[in-house]
Amino acid sequence: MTSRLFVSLSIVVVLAQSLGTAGGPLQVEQGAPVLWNVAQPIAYWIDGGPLGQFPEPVPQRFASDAFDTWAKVPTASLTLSAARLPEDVRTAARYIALEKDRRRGSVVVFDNVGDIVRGIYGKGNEKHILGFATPRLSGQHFTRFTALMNGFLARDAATVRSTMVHEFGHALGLDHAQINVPFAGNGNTNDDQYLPTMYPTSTDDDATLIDLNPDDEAAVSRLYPNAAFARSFGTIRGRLVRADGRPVLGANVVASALVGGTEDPMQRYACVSDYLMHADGTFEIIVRPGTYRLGAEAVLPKFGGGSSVGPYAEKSSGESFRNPIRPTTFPGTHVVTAGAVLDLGVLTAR
Amino acid sequence: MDARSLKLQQLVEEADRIFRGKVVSVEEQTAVLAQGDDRVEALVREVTIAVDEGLKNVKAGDRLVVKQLVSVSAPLQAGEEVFWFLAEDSELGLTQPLGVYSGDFRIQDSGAGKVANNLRGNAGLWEDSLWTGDGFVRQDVLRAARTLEWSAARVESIEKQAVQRPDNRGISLDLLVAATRSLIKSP
Repeated sequence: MTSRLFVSLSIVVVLAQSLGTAGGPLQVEQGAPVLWNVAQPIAYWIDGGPLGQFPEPVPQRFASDAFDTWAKVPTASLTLSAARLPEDVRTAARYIALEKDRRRGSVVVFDNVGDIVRGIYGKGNEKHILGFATPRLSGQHFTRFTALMNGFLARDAATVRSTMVHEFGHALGLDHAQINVPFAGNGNTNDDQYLPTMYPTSTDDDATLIDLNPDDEAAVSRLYPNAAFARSFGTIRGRLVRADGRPVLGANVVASALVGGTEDPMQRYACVSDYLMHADGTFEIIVRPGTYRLGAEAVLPKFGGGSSVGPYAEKSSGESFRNPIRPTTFPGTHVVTAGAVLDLGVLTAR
Repeated sequence: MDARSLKLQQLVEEADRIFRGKVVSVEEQTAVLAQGDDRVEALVREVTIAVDEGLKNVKAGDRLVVKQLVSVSAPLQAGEEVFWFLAEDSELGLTQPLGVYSGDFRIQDSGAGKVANNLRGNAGLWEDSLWTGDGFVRQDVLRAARTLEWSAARVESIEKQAVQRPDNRGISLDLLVAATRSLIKSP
């Protein structure tokens, strides 16, 4: 995730419209999330050919289903349209040519046996890279993306499909979300349902990541809200600071819904403090109406680089990892209603 | 990107080159990449690295030029010190650290010695302490440290650090080097 801070009148206008995030925007420019212009459908080409053990048209169907997963969120306004690329992209050179070709637009490429990944990343790396999707921006908008799925690692449908939904979330402008970390990779497949699709890594049962969780839906709806959004979500806002008053940059703030006095792990939503990089520690969490408890924690060290959560975790020297806060549960519970912004003011982390 | 976390053993086994060095220069330029009959112009980053310590297929004093596709490369600056487990160059002459994130360690001075963090925050490099599994043999690691003619205090420090869980940032560079060397088989 990259960003540049730039103060201008246009930023004031954007901020007035900003209602915060769930998992967070992938990229921030001039203090605002970078978005697709969804006044028209997001068009993309789908590569022909197989993906590992999956013959055409199976991977093509997986890809369009993965995009549909996002487009069908009832509180988001997203339309995507797919067309079959009139070729089967097989070499790294051809992939690079497509990646460069702005006239071509967005493309999803299936690297049948890992040749493309090997060509780009070196011999042996086809064994370790499942896929990627990179949206490219012009000004304040994303204008195209390139996505690639590695067939060398396409061993089972669940992993392929969950990777696609996750990577296409990035293509649409979504960042990772650090929610329910104890459930990931703990050997228990029963609790993986509580992990959002935009969780930074795979888990015990990747099939659970194919379907979106509430935080995923909140994240995409915030970026691309439709008329139902304001009737369906509210906002918890605040500024996270340290004991000395300095803003906390890049910590994870989590709102957990209380049902019958107990936290519901499915209804957890997160936002990274200072997610729009205004240097003031602001967080804004989009949640379904309900009663919530709030907590804050450091972004985990393993969620840096390509698994980063928030704008301050790309490098190991980033603010998220410098003098990390201790886990903090804030006192009290908070009732959030649809369309309302609950401003908690300044919250002090431990 | 969805890339797997790799254990140190995998990194050592699969890497084509392992070394510690200083980035001398990072230059981006359009280059022609050829693969069979395919030719394409692409923005390529040439990273020149002065090798201070070669562990696998590289010698101290070597000057490596590593070519990477800019669009998929992690930020890197001249002057940075890196500990890389590098994949073999592809037919296009391109490469990246193995696992992209797992094999890309950046070295910093913690004030109490040099520490290394990969772009995964060192997650999953080995389980629990270095001595409780994953194929690390304590005597091999300490022997590897002694072959480098480190002081007794430095070797003792490695032994203490190895019993800690390496899930956090800042693995001592000495520990990483000794553990890596202990796994490299002589040709």
